[in-house]
Amino acid sequence: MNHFTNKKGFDAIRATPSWRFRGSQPPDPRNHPFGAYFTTLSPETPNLAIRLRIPRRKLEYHFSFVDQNDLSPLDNDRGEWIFYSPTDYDVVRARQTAHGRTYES
Amino acid sequence: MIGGTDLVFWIRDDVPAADVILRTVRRKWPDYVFQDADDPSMPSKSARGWLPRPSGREFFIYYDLAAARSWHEDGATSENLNTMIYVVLGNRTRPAANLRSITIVCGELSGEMRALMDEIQMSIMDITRSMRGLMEKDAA
Repeated sequence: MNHFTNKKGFDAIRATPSWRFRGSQPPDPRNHPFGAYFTTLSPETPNLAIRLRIPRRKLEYHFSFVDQNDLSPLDNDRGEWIFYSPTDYDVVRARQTAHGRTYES
Repeated sequence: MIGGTDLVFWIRDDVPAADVILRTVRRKWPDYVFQDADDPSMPSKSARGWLPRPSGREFFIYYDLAAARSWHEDGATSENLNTMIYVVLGNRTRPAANLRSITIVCGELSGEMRALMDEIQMSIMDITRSMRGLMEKDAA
């Protein structure tokens, strides 16, 4: 499972041994509930910013971790690869697999 | 880490969904640009005058070349939000009704974008009705 963010988010999430992904409200609250969002799409996925419909700069850094099937899929066809937690979501060190810069900007 | 407005449409399994959507969009966006979602290259020309055939279940339709360029360079911005739709031909089904899902991810659902989505919904309903009519005629 992956999470993409900018430098500020990257530093905040990795500030503690357990990564903490804080929930936030996506731009359209009627469509996407408050939560911490994740995707099974890898950093190498073509057109990732367009698929996620986010600014490209928010892909600058990423975190990868082992899924434990406790995240909810979006309630539409993007739910095949976009998941969320309705509350802040912690990932202990044993589940952490990679983090760092996604691409050279 | 997510943006856009996701709209789910249900369409009969035997309706060529991508074809219906592309024909509808090109009436509103005559200089539209098509791109398969798995194609990493920047589209270089408008699809004006021809109807693309998606190679997979996901594709993008941009308002024009400038919009395609903007999305490729910057992703979503406040300026380009309503210049691209992302179509996912879904795997979800309602077998009893012979329907399958399509998700269209668009920008703000107001004004011209709302009109475009309404028109897609109407096109889906129209073709469903006409196919049902043909089947009933065949059965008679």
